[in-house]
Amino acid sequence: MVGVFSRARRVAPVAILVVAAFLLPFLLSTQQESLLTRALIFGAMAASLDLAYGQAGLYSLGHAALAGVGGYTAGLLMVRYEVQSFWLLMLAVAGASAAASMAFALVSLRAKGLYFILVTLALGQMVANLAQQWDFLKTAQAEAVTGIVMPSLGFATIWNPGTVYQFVLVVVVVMLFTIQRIIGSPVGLALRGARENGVRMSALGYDVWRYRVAAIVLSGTLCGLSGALFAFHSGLIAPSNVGVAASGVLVLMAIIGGSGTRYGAFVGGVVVTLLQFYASEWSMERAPMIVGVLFILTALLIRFRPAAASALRGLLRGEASHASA
Amino acid sequence: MQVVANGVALGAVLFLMGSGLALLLGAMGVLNLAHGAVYMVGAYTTWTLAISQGWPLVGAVLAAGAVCAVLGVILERLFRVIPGRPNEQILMSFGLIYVLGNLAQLVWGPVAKSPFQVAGLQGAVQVGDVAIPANRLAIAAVGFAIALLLWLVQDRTRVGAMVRAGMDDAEMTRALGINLDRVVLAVFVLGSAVAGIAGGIGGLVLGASTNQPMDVLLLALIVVVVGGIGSVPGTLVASLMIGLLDAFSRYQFPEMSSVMLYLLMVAVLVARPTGLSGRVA
Repeated sequence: MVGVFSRARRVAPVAILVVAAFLLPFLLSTQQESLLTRALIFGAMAASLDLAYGQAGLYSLGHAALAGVGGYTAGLLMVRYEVQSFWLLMLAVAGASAAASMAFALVSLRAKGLYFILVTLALGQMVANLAQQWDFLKTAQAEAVTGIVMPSLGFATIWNPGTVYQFVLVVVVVMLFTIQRIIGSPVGLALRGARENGVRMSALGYDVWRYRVAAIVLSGTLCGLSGALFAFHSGLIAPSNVGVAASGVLVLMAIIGGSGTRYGAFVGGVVVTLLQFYASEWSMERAPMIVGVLFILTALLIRFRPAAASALRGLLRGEASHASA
Repeated sequence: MQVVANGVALGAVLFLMGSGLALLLGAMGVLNLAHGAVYMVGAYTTWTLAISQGWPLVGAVLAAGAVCAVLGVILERLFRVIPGRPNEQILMSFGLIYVLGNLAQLVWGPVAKSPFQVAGLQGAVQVGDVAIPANRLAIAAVGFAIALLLWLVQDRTRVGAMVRAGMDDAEMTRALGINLDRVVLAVFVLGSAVAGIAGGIGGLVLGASTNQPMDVLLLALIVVVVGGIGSVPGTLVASLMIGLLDAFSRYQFPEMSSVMLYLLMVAVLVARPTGLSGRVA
């Protein structure tokens, strides 16, 4: 009985939050619905990244490229080959981004430590340059794939900002649930073990390299799926969504929310997306400055207020992870 | 031949961009992704002094180096107070990229400055049957002079020996009574000054723009990955290779030229994960 109650106590707040989020469109304007949809998508993307970044300790600054592979696959299939089914598209996206992340992992894992960061950064930019220069990846004389719409689900759906938001919410919840299951599984434990002490893990008989490849492929595939959602929602995908700046923002989301924690990266993704929107609302020109100053302050805050940071982490019910604290 | 001349000049700029980053990363494992932003400050400072104030180019470039050296001191302070872990360093450097890029936009306006036109470097020098533009010759000269200087400092002086010792084993170096913090400060100042000079002299062909923090960072890190960390000749060879490859591929298949650089990086990583010079990061 105790088990059932403690389980209910854990699940209930999350369930209430999800239901409340699902009912939100009744209170919001169209613009706010669209903003929240975007925030959810970036939250999911940051949470996917954190599977490699926080859980496995693989500091990747190239994940926007993997999300981009998903977005471009979905966009091109839809615009060039007229595939409309959501299910087919998502299947293709998963396949393409899994293959891309595999290649990404095989190259980047040749390097270690800070070197790994540099390599992922460059690989990410390589994809962005490809998107910029290869004409196959552009439609309608634009520098991007444009004209993407919400796909069909196979049953009657009327897309408006409210239903788009609700649909994205459902998909994102499923993705977050998947991520939680991975984190909680023996694989997740092995990933954290490899993060803390790779040598000891291999001495215990774990093939650390394989687990790291698995972490990048899993997180890259999930990133690709979020990238496809991004393309559906914004109607286009451009090289700037794929480049280094985009990858950097993803990492910043994960760090600010608390990388290596349970919901930290997702919360960070939502918060930073809202922050960027309201900063540019306040002053289009100075928005990068505001965001940049906040990043610097956060970095300094981590140094000067470890207590505040750990209290925040406690509030987010994150597990204790001293390496990223 | 024209292509080779362009490639060597580009290689010299790449060397100036990359060597500062390689020094920092090698000397103390500080990942200063704001290195490109320092380059941009150097480029804009040179533009202000040489183009709008009419200083001679040499003076303007040296002044840009000095401004960036001061910026290096500030950066060193900022990077010292945060914990030396990738998370905080990434957060800090991206914040600096945003802030410095946006400040430059505020001061110098959103329109990029075109390559600097300086009196005395307009013509071309005739060598045999090829005409080499004088500004590219100047860039190559400055690049090689600084490479020689850096190599002498790192290989032949006491400070250079301390830097190399710190790269090999920081703890042991400290135990021997060397104030490694001061060495790191020196490396920060030197690396930033070189980046500033790179911005000034590179402005002869690249101008100055607020996209440079990212663009230059990427070029610099390809140089670092290909050349390896902590060896001046390694960085120089890598920069020349990349400069020539870029010049040739622009000439042969212009639509894929920027991807070529990354393919070279991937190839080097597969063959020699530690870069050409082979020091372990």
